[in-house]
Amino acid sequence: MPSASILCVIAFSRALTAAAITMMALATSGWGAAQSTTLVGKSAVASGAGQPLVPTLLSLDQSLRTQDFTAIQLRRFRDDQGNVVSVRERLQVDANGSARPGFAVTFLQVEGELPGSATDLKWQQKYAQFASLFYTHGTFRVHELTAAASNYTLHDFGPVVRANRAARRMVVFPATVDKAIWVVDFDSLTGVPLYSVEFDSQLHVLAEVEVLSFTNAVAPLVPALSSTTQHNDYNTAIAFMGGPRQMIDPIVALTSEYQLDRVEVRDDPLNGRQALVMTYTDGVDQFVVVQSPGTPDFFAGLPSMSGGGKSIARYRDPAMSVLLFWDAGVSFHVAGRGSLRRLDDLAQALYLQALSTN
Amino acid sequence: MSAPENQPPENQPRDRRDRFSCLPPTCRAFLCTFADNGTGAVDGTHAEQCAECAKQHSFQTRLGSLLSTRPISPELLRTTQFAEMLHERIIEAAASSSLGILVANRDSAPIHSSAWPEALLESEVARSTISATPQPSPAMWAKVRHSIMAGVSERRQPRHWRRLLLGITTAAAAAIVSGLVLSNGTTKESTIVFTDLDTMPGVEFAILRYGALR
Amino acid sequence: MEDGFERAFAELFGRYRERVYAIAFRVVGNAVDALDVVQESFALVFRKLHSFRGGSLFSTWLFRIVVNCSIDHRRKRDVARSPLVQGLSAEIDFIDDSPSPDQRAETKELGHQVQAAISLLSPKLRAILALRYLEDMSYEHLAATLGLSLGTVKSRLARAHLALESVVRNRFPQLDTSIAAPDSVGDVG
Repeated sequence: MPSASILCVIAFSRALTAAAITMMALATSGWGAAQSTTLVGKSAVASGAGQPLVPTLLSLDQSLRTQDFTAIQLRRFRDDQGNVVSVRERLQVDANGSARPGFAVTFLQVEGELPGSATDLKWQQKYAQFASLFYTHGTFRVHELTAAASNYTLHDFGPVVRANRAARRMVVFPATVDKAIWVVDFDSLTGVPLYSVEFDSQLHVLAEVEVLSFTNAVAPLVPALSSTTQHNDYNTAIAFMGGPRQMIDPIVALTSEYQLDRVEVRDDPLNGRQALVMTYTDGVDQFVVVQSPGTPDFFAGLPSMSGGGKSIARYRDPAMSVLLFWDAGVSFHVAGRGSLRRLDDLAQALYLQALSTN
Repeated sequence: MSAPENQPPENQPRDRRDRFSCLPPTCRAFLCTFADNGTGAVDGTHAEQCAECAKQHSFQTRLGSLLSTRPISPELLRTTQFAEMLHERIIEAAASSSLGILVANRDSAPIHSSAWPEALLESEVARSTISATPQPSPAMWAKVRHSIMAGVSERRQPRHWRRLLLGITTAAAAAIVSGLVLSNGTTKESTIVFTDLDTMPGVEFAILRYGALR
Repeated sequence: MEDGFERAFAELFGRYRERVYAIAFRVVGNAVDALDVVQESFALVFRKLHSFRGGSLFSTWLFRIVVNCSIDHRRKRDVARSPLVQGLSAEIDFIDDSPSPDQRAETKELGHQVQAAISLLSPKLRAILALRYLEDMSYEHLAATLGLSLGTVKSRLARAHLALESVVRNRFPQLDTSIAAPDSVGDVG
């Protein structure tokens, strides 16, 4: 049996890579006084004075809570042909003092495509459906400060220029190797990410967002109709859903550095269903546990397994993991990072929890 | 039949066919079967009739002990210097990666698309688009079920379950992978079976990982 | 934290380094290159650890890496070696528990000749002999490690034995004589 200390071997490989990054850090030439800027909007940060020279997790958390901004940025994807596609979008953030500011993500165009082209329309449609997820889950943010401080370290790589603004290049390094490494250029004035690229443990790029223009202000946002309602906890959400049975309050001990970040109920009027979405975060990374009551058993009709076993369908690629199972009229799925293979164990534990509950 | 791995060393004449290929089938079968741990039952009849095969068997049995003698490793292997050399090698590999180049150059240019993982697209995920409806369509679920059933028919035995080695610590975050590293077969069965899908399920949150759409 | 990591790494490295070295030595034929292969293999293990799916033994996965690194090593044109490694003597002893100095010396000499004979085989044949005899792998385990079918394992191993016998007979007659045994067919079924 492997001893406990051996378990740190993976962490050591992470540490070695961290050391590699540290060794690659260039000596900073120092940065003079930050430029002052007249701010418009509710931002409480005085010009040039609110942000430390080198960002910290605390300053990044504060930035999220206090900084209004409007950014035109490129978000890069792999399309279904395997090509890297750059989509231009407008991100507007209306800070409200919380870790969940108001925001709007607007599709502008696909780089290199004419407006109205088939590709352009396809991505326009996708943005119409999923744009909110891009900001909520697809942008570098400090979701929870204490957890982030426990699970990540910041490494300074000195000043850079991004979107014609002074910025600071930082590497956000996870404590375990089954998570992403981020390189982020934070605006020196506001702490807002002006460029972020996410690497997997093999140092391959998973995602990239590049700000082209940035304004430290935002026009009043029109609240958009949302099919999602926020709730304080599981019990409140269940009550909102009418108390459907056979659902569980997930025990996620197997991913102990993750904590519950948000509880939402999403409506799907087309199918007349609701889904309970519980998002967990380790401060930066996230995974979700989704429960949808009143769904048919997608495993029905399968040959019975030996010993009456149950089945969890699993999809995994380098970017993400999706695990699906069904019990007593409720479909469950767990979705998160591709490298976070602990989600397999979590899905199994949740399945056992559901079976024991029902 | 010429097998590349059987080509003579560089300073030897090349033969198109190696010795094994030139042997009669009975001899080939004999030579293939008796070497299993050196204790496998051999075809005594063939060995009595074929002097060459008997000689081969005898040679290999006697040589086995010498082949099993492990060379002593240099003392250097056990020094901290060697570990540091390994450390440097890993660092060099990181430095030449996209991340290393990015942080070293502080380049404003975006990452070249060749740095994106090809493996991201190895499944049909790359060739399908997200379902128009947030909930999976019946057609998509039919594909899921088909994949599951196909997988079930191929893998009747429950999948071996990975062990979670420790409880709730930060190190436990690496425990799953570490358990794979060092469990060396210490697995246990479970009635819960994992079935891998070739096609990503059409669930909305399948795209949330980092916003990249499939 | 760093000390803890280093201790954990040392334990993993310590557990497998000797076995990795032995296999690498069999394939590449000398200590200097074998040490390079050890480093390359462990460096690759760290990078690829997440690709280990747990469907096989870790040692199976590790030794596959070692074999591939060993075979690839010979193809590389420039191998950067630290002065420490370059200064290493090429003289390698073999583990031997013979009771007398004369016997130990004889075994050492035989060991050198065996390695010299193996070094005249192709890398793939060396690799399968190394795994078979140094790790005492069964046919099934060899198949899993090398990613081959059982039939291919058997035929490749047979080819390796034949090739080795031919090399010993033609190039190392003293070795051939030294391991000569009374006429015996061995176990028969």
